[in-house]
Amino acid sequence: MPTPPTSTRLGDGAIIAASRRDPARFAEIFDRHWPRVHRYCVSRAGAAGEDIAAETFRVALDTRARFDGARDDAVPWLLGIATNLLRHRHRSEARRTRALLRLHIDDEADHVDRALDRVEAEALGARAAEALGELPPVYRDALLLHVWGELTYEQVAEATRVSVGTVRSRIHRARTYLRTALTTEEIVR
Amino acid sequence: MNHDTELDWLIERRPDPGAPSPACTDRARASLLAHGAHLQRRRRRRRSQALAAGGALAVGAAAVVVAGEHGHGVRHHTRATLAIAPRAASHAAAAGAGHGSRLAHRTPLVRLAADVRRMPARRQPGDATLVVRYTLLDGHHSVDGAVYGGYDLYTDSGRYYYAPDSLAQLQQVEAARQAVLGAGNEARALGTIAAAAARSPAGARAAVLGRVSAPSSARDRRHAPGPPQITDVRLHDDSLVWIDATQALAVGAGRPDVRAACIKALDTLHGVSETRTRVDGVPALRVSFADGSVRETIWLDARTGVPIQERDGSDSTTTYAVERVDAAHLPARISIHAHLR
Repeated sequence: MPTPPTSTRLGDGAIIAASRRDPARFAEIFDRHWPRVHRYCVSRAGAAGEDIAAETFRVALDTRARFDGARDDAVPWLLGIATNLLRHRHRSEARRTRALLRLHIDDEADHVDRALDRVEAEALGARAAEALGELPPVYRDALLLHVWGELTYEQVAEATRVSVGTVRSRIHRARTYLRTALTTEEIVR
Repeated sequence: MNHDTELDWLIERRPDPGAPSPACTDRARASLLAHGAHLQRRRRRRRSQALAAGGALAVGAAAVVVAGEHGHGVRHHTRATLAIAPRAASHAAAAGAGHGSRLAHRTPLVRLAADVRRMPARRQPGDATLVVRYTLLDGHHSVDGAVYGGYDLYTDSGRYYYAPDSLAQLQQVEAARQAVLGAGNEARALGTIAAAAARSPAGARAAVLGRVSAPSSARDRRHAPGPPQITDVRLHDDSLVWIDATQALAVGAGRPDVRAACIKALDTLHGVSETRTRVDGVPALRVSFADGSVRETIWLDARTGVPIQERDGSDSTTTYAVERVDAAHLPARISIHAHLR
């Protein structure tokens, strides 16, 4: 996709502000960030991530009025939307699977929220799914936004709408859990 | 393999999907642009509605006449209360008690809906409906590469394909199975509307507004109006019914049940008017509604209810061409004045 020269390139905030009046302008946000959003979604959900990545931009277009126009980088906001869609999709998949299996689970919401569904597990790979599977979703999301989404702690905070301190805490706990779940053959202790 | 930290271990396990394919990118971009064009259309309408809000409140202070439960006992409401009555029932009340049922079927919209509902499904060939939308907004068909309108293909199996530029492009999109996302939700909404084809105008209105879960209710069977509502809420709902019904008429142009329900829903709008006319020699019903301060108009084929043209305010006109097709073998070209028969 063609992009304007850097010297004349508007910030994401200015373009999104313009798109409030002219939705077609939002295509510029798509052109800039589609590859990164696509990569993140496909990394986490396999082939199904392509649809989720596309849906991310549709949701972003619908909710563009909420974007802080003073920010120049829309990536954290977009990956935050993508993460919510991934979570919703995984939850739906888990519920569907459970319904098919006719399982009765008393603590339904907690179980569904914690469970890695088949698609997510396949995307993560068997070993990562095993290592991350028991992490609460908010910890897993923070860790994967940081490591796979390549966001800083501040950007993860922006994406997940929590304080930076909370992000530090979540990622610290996630790393601690992951460290204990891995064997000495996998990392140096 | 040994790693220094758990983060290194996790980084190495990140799948590498590579760059998105051009087809995937084009599909996502087209979907976004189509959604943006839809939002633009709604935004313009809402803006015009907002401009008229003051006038609406002033109207609310006047006494209005509405029909009773069965089109009999006329009640007078004052100030800001107003029942949502099918317009036909209002006509009946004005004409005299006891004839509501017979007169209700005399409005051109209700009669057209009945005609459309009786259209035999077997007369429709193909397995999909092709809708060509040619929109001129402020005299332009596209702005900054974003085309207004485009080529829609709705398959009977519920898939929706879109291409902005040409039938050939649409055929490529269909062949690659690059369906537009979110079409499932629209298909479900169309299903709800279609289920109201046999219901009263009030029932069809509720379906268009997405406020029904069952195909019929006792109240609907009595052709009852809805509960009294505040005037500005009713005007807001009228605007939504107009927007969603005209939109569904285009999306569901290939389905007589959808068209019938939408046309009935239009009949419930306060102040809607219809005029028999012709568009390029085709008998048409010109349906007009003041959405706020802006009068909007849609021309429907007088025999089939298929949309022919729509004027959104004074600066946007969309011309439709609707045909039943085989999704795998789209026509090379289509006349903008082709209509579903």
